[in-house]
Amino acid sequence: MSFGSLEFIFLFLPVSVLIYRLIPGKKTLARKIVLLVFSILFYIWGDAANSIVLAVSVFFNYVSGQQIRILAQEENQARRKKITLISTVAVNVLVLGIFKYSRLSLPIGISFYTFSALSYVFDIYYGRAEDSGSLLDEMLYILFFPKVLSGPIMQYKDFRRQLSEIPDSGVRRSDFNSGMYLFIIGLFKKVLIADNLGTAFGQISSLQHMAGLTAWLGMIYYSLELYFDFSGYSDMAIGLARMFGFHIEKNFDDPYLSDGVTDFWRRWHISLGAWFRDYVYIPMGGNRCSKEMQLRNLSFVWILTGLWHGNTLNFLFWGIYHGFFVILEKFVIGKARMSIPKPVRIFLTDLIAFFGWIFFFTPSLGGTVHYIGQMFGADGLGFADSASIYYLTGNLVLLIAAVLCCGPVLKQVHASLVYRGGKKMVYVSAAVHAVLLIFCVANMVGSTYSTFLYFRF
Amino acid sequence: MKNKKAGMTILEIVKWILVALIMAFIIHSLMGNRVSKADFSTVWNAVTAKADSSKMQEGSNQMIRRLYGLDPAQFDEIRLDYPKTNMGAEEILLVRLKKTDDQEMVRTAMESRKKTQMNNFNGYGTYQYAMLEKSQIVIRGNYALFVSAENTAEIVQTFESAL
Repeated sequence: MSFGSLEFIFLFLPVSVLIYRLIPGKKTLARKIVLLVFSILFYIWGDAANSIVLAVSVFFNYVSGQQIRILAQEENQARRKKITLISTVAVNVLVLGIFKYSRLSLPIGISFYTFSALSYVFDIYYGRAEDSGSLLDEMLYILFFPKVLSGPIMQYKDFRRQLSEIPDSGVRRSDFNSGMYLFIIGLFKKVLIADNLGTAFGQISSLQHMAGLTAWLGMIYYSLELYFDFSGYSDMAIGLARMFGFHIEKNFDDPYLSDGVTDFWRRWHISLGAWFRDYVYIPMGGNRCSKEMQLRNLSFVWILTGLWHGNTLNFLFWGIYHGFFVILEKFVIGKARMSIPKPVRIFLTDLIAFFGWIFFFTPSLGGTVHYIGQMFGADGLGFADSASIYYLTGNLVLLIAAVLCCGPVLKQVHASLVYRGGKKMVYVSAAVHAVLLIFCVANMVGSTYSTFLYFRF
Repeated sequence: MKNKKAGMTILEIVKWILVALIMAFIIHSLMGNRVSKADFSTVWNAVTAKADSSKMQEGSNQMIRRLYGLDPAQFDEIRLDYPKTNMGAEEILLVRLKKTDDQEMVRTAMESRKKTQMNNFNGYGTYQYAMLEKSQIVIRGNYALFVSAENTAEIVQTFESAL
């Protein structure tokens, strides 16, 4: 089931929220069980055939985590503890690899829930989370429905802390309201912006031949679509979690306003970057080692990032491509890049990021090269033709809206109006969100809704 | 101490039973992806018998190239039934691959065709769009099927049985 489907919005969500809120705040166990039952239902509704993979992952990692926890309490068991960790990671990576790289259908969310499960094991191994050995807590952490399919990949230590801090008074009203608003904003990003950008991109990508400008527009539309699609999903997930009293850190922070590739990766899919930083990069030595070792660590992390995203050479090259620019910024350009005016740095970063997405939407490296060739007039249709003008003018309003929504301007205007306008503006804000929801639902009823791009990872 | 040791042994056994379980599931799933010796015409006839042929026409090799960007010479067998009119969304493409390495390429071509058709009907062809949304791409070993029909699920089931 997808967050953007009518059955989720009008059936699953209201029923789950209602039942969760009907349970008195002090009945923490009952609340956890209800949340777990709804999370299991949510997953089975979406991918019943592959539920067994998720179930095995949950139990296997629970058993491994408990082995590590018990070994940590005993003396002279460090080696055994390490072997248990390595074998657990190996099994997880092997299963993920088989599903990603064979012809089998990919269980929905496997990349995300495997990383969550590994976070559970790592956090127990490193002693970052106080684990009580509760199977219910572990199951709820991995299966928690707002994040099980496409993240954000919340780390176990953060989830565990929140589980132990569930207030007796239940979900705070302010959390519920802000969660609902965030969910609507996410839905708006997905349904009204990303899906329309997807249509614009789809029209261009189905062309056999195109002028340079058309190909550039295709790249721009896809880059914006990907951002609004995934950040919309993340907003919905974070909003939903908040409606149930859980706080998940933001997954996107206006990434297209980054002034460097390193900065871009601090703002794009933040939870994945944090996962690689905490569980791969830092344990390998991070920055606290020689320059050669840092290079090795960074290269390894970026190859893994590419492989995590997909099973074609395109994704591997995409990871290497980004790793190259991160290493270039860190070791070659350094602070010298600060002499370039900030708007130029932002433009160059976007150019690098947008070019990188071509690896995503083309099926092979040959296709990537071919598409880049088309951007520079390889089809012999010149820089622009009537089709280019049509694809530009036909989507100009959408493009302007998307660019505006990429930055913090609208959020800041909204926040300042609500802050200064008092109660009256709060009602206006609520009305605006309600109108947005109505527009989104109207669009969805017209059967023009499509699935989230990141589901395929 | 003894209890703890026994507990660890039980956990170890449970852990490897779970690994065996997932491996069995993977092997079972991979077996479902094995090469089929079924006759192409038999599979095609079984599949099309369940479809509403009045809404489709047979596609030539040129049409397959145009709509899917696939070269028919690259495959053992390939056959297409596509909509008779521009307002139709019923379509069946059946391919028998020479090598299973081509699965991904065929899947991409089918997905691309599906996306193009969905874009064509987006916003005005609600019925056709819904049909395309429910369309399926099924790849089993050396056979690949794209089907967009009112009874997509039934046709896919027939295809699976025919292999």
